[in-house]
Amino acid sequence: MTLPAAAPSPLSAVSPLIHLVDDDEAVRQALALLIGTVGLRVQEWAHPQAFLEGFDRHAVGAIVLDVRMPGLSGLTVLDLLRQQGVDQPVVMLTGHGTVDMCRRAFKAGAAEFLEKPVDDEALLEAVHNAVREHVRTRQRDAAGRDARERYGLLSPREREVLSLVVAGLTNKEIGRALVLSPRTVETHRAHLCAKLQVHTLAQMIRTYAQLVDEEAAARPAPPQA
Amino acid sequence: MPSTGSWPATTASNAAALLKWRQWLQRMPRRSVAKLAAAVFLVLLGATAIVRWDIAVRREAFAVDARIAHRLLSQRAAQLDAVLATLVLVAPAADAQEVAARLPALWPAVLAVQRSDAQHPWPDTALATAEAQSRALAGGQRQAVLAAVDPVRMHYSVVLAGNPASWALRVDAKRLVPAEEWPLPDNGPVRAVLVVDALTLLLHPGAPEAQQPAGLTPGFTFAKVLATPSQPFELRLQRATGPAQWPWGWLLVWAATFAATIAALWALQRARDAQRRNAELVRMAQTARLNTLGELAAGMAHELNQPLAAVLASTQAAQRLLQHNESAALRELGEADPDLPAVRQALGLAAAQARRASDVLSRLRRLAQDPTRGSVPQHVDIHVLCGQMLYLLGPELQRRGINASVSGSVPTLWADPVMLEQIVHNLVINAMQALEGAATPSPTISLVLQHFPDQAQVLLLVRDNGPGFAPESLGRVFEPFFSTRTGGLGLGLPLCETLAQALGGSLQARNVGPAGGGATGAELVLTLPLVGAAPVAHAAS
Repeated sequence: MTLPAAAPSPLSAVSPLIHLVDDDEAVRQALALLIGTVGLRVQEWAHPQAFLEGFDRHAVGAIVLDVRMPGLSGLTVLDLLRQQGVDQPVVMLTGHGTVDMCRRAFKAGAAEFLEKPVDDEALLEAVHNAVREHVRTRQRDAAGRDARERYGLLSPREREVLSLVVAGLTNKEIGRALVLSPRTVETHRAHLCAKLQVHTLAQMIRTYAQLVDEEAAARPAPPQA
Repeated sequence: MPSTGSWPATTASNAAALLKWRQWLQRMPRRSVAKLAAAVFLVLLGATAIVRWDIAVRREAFAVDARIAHRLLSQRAAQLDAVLATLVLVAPAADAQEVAARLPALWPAVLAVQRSDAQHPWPDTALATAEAQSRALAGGQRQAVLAAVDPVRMHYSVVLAGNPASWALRVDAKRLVPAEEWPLPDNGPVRAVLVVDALTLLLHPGAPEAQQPAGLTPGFTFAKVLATPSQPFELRLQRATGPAQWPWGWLLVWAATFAATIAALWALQRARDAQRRNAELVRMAQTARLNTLGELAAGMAHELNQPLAAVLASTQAAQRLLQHNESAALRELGEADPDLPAVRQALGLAAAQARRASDVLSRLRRLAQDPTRGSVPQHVDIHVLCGQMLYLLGPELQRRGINASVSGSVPTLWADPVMLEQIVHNLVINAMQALEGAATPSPTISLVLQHFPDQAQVLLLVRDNGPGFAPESLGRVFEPFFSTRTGGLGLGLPLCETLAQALGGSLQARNVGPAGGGATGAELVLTLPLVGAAPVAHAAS
């Protein structure tokens, strides 16, 4: 059916998986065939409930969802997915799209909203975009997770120094603010670079500025007197 | 009418009758009671006018008759005076026997003629007394004097004194005026008497009640002394005008005319009612047709769109696979199958035609009227609306012997009444059709309204006691083109669902019946939101 075998090969860990949810068998098979032609793995679901209970939320890929289905409508499924924190992008398909339906879908976080019968190029482009978007999201999440882990290794003093570095203060200014000698500040900065695995100041600021801000917001009273 | 006249008797049957009457009166709508009272009032008013008019006419006739009778009597009495005077002046010596033989032939009222002079005294002292009175009257102008009145035989005498002879006439009061000239019929209702001193001469007895002319309407009376001093009779006429004399024929005609008019008006009202009902039904049918057309187009578009989507996607997948194969073949063999361009063209054609068909469908869908287009939400009392729908379908329901009712009370809704009408109309018709084939002994459709303030919802249950839905069809009743009736289009319930959703509500179907299976009917549950009607809803609840 789909080109690569669904065996747990090393390839399957990286090849994106497209979940296709549509109650009409003919449409489902045809769309699966079409998506399969560009080398994407497709998993078909006839019932929205079965899909919600059984699909792999950790896999990289996207979800193609029909709006009009018996039992649960596609829009309801979309709401449920978002409530459950599923991060796969969702491409909505509908036989007859109204403006209202379209607005609801995008408000609920749909990546794309297409009318059936859909042209191969439009569908495949939407799926590709969704997959790319998901890969990026996953990477960003992973990077964020790593950064958070490294940040957790810092001592309280090092965190103070980092917050001032990110705020754009020089070594001297940092020393004055924390009542430290510039040399000590220098040492802290070297430790920071080593622990945070960054090589340049710009890299440090880009990766950790957000974390420092979050930390500052979480603390009830700022350290500056 | 119950006999309220004998009510003081307080018999058990009377009390029961009165109770029944009161219950009947209470069951009647207040407007009908008012109408009944107005009709009774009008009938009585008309009857009174007729009776008064009739009395006026008869009074006039009575007065004319009385004047004629009085004049005739006076004239005849005066003529007798003249006869007497002639006898006294012209034929003092005439033979009384001869005169007596000839006069009654001319004057039927004259029974006898008597003469008296010095040689022949009066046989009766009353006549002598009267002669003396006559002689004593007014010097030379002698006048006749009344004498010897016999009230039983109704005879009297008139005496005129003269020289040398005095004459007297014995008169029959009954025959004073010839019968053909007398205006009052012998057996008529009028009582006629001649009264002089304390004596009464009965000319006509009249109707028994004429003796005491009283009652509901006062009678007519006439009393006048004859214009002849010699015979000072007072003519008294009396006539009763009680209920027995009322113009019952005319009253009957009036009542019948009135009743006929009311009946005609009622029939007219009924006809106009039916006409209005028909117009309303036609309007509903038009809306329903448009809505059904929309539902048909939407249903068809959806049903055909799915296969078209599959065709297009499959064709395009085939095109892509073909391209992969072709490039692979070119790479490996240096040449591709010469038929491949034709296959590609065929696939392209198929894809284009699938797209074309799909365009037609979307045009059709745009053309079909959206049921929510032009909807005007307003405050709707759904209880009244349900009542109107049952009224509209009244003749149909009656024809099938179906008993339909609305119960429950809910706050006013804020919704488009036309859409609500369509839903209720369709649901009732659906229930009617469900009952049609069933052999239910007493087919019933009940519309039950329920209010759930916590959920800000109103429920309308349309329940029938038919066979219920078959288990396998229960899940499919809202599917377009699904119908269990032969010849049914299968769009009624889907349309109701579409309309319910457009109103922000929902529609469900289920079977009702005892727990443990065995349906005793179907029930459709229309759920409607109570949004936007807050102020009125509070006032209503």
